[in-house]
Amino acid sequence: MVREGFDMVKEIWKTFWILLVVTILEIGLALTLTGHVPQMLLNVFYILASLAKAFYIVAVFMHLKFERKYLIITVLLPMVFMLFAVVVLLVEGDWWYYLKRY
Amino acid sequence: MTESSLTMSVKPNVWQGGFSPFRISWGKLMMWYFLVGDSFSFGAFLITYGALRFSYESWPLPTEVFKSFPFLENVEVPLGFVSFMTFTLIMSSVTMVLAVHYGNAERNRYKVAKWLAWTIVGGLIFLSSQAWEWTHLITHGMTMKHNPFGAPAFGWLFFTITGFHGFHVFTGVIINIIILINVLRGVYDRRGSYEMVEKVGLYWHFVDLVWVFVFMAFYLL
Repeated sequence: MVREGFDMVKEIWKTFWILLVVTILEIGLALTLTGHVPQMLLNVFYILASLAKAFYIVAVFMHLKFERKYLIITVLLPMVFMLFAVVVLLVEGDWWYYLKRY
Repeated sequence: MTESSLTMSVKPNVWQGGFSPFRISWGKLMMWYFLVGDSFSFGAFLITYGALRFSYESWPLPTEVFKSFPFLENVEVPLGFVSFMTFTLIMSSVTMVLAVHYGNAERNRYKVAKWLAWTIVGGLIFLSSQAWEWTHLITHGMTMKHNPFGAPAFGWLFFTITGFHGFHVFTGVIINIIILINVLRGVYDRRGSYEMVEKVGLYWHFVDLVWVFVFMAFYLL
């Protein structure tokens, strides 16, 4: 639960500014740096920035950081399967590319 | 032994029954687990996108595909319109969380209704923007099977994934309207709890959360 004297409205607007600045940064880099720096570098930034935005939405907007520890675990732990599918299917997709070429 | 059994009885164990170990209501818990399940349907969509994209030699450039803006016929604004859509969705998430806050903290019917109404407006702006973007791309030849910008799979994936997300926004707007009517009729004042607003709030934020990754996959990477 939210502790005494905690200004939730302030926290909400702080989170809004974080989300907005990160999004503007993403779009700004996409428009200015694409083609000038290795794409892999930009992609790593986009993924990290998106995960950061996801963290703030889930933690503050969805109040998950104020919930009990075991609830947080049951919600976040299944996402491990997603990570598994990302790795396995991207490797597989790369293999389809070679199959189509040769 | 006596000492340990004594501390056991003094310190309440959350797993011994009698109340929710997660200290949230049944309905809210089920909303959380529904969203966990729903994240896997979007995960399946986006991972398919990734796998298919890796299997193509070249992929359409987002700055080439998404560069049109309504009412600006001959001007190229790469990623301009989608930035506006993203801002709308973030903003509507903020108005939603404010509605949830004023419901839980103050049970202020007027403030909840005000912020919920703004959330609905944000959702409708987002849906109209998406309708415009789809119409624009379809009239420029991008369909499920054809894509003038490159790989045909891009069109198929774009319409299914943004369509599935847009359908979530659409249902979210409908549910928000129902909850707004209930708020205005004072249903939650009589019930003594504004938790229903919090439950639809969870759903609405999830839609915003999914957009973060749809945006990343289609417009940035």
